[in-house]
This record gives sequence, structure tokens and C-alpha cells, in this order.
Amino acid sequence: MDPEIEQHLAAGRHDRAFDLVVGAYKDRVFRLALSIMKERAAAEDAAQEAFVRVWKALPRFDGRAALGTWIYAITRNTCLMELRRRRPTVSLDDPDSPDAQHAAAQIASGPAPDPERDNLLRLLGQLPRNQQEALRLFYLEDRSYEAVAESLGMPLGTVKNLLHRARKRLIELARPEEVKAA
Amino acid sequence: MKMVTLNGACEDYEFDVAELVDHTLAPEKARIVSLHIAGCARCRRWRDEYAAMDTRLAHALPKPRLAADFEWRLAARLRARPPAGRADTRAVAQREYAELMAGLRERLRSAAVGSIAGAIAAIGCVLAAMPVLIDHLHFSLDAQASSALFKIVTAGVTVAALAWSFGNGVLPGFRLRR
Repeated sequence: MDPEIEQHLAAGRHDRAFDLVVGAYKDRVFRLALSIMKERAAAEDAAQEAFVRVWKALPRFDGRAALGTWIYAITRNTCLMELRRRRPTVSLDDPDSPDAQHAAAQIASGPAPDPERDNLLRLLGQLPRNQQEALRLFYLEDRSYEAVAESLGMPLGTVKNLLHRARKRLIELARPEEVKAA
Repeated sequence: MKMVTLNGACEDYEFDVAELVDHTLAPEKARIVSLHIAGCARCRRWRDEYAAMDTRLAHALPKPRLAADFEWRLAARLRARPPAGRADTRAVAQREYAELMAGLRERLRSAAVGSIAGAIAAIGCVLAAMPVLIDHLHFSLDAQASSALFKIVTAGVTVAALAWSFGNGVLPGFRLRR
């Protein structure tokens, strides 16, 4: 933990500590939220909500877990709750379905059409959710295994394995499509 | 394109090839894996496929940056929250506790007033009855004295009971509870 944050927390200056926490963690929290929510606007909203929860709970933070681990756990829970809350209102039948993932990817991708990219995102949508989140986070975090492990609260070896299996599965999924295209 | 699958000895390198592509393999291990790849067409193809997928993913996945006004909006959101937020939880609990105690004190005060009124009424009745009793107890009680004594005692008990009931909120229509 940042020593300055630690000092403010120990002295009960929670508002000052919170200001420093936001500055230090906002980008990582946003990227973690983005890897789960998949849309920028939804990720920003979830990140805001996560920080509101951090603000409420900061006086009760006892330092048993690392501050970052604690903040990322709050962020993950906030995102998953938001996804559960949204589930009945999504117009597509199943938000985890490849079609829904593809639709979300298209919304996120903006107006410029890129069939290859869209196809890859559609294939990515076919992976299990934990593999998708790990992959998105890995590239958001500039290929840092450590950052992914910390954000997802997983051991480093588990993250490496997860990322490897995800990319291997994507290669396997892409092969028949490439054969068809050829 | 012919599908690449790693079997036998090459399978042992599969994970290492992935780490080689990610540049996270220890230098000595990277040298060993690179030597193997140089002499193994299957592993070379696997590495190329893996690296191509890595490049495609890096290109395809968006990397938006957080909006510049994120902190400003967060601060505004926190300012706009009702006081029952973080540190105010204790204040809310204290306010509820104070209201509860005030209610209890009010009830106790009403009960005390009622009890005192009842006691005064009872004492008053006894004092009022005393001269009559003294006058008549010298002699044996006749019917008239017994009747007067009975009426006085009855009235006293009734007043005392009414006062006690009022004070304790037992009497219908006179409950003091909020």
C-alpha cells in the first residue's frame, strides 16, 4: 500500500486517503470493469459505483488484505451485480450467448466496420466468461500477467494457464473459419 | 491450412512457447525453447499461430482511456449522496437511539405523574375518611356508618385505580404511547 494512504488511514483521515486511492487506482479499476462489462460507458458507471462503495467501506478497511486486492474485489462484485441487475432487461435472450457478445462488441467497436475484428470478438464471445475477462484484461494491462493476477485475485500460475487455454481455444475456433474463408 | 497439434515431446513445450511469445520466459529457458523451435517445424508453426493470434487480439481489443472528468463526476456523485452515507451511519444510529430514549422518558414521566396522582387521590380518600372513622369507631359500627365508610373506601379505590390505569396507559382512549 502507498505509505501516504496508509498514514492517512491510520490517522482516520479517510477523505484524504480516499482522494489518494482514487488517483492511484482509478485506471486499474476502470480496466478491470471494462474487462467484465465490455462497454466503456457501463465500465465507467461500474467504476464510479465501485469507488462509492470503497468510500463507504474505507473506514472499516482493516488491512488484512492488500488495499489493491480489496478494491479490485469490490470492483468485481460491483460489476457482477450490475450484470445480474441488467440481465432481464437485455433484449437478446442470453447476454452470454455469442450473438449477444458479438452485438456488444459491435456497439463497443464504434461505427468503423472491421469484419476480421468483429469475427475475432465473436469467437472471443464463445469462450468461458473467466477466460474472456482474463484475455481482455491481459491486453488492457499491456500483457502483464501480474496485473491480471492482482486484479482478478488469482495466483499467477492460474492466470498464465487461463490465458494460454483461452488463446489456444481461440486458435482452434478460428481454424475452421479460416479454412472456409480460404 | 494444416492444423497444428502438439504431441509427445513437443507437447512439453506448448506452454513454454506461449510464454516465449509473451516474453515472460526466463532467459535460460527461452534459449532452450528457441533451440527446440529452430529444429521443430510443428513447434515453429505453433509459435507462429500463437503469435499471430496474440497480435490479432492486441489489435482487436479496445483500450479506451478513462474519461478526464471521471474524478470530478465521482466527487459530484459523492457530494450529492444523502447524509446516510458512510460515516453518517453512526450518526443515524445515534439519532434513532436518542429518539427511542426520549420516547421512553416521556412514557416514564407520564406513568410517574399518573402514579403520583393515584397515590394523592388514595391518600386524600383515606384522610377524608379518617374523621368519620374516628367518630364512629368509638362505638360499634351501625348500619349508617358502615354505608358511609363503604362509599368512601369504594370511591377512593376507584379514583386510585383510574389514576393508575391512566398513568400506565391501560385505560382505553387514554394511552400515552406514541
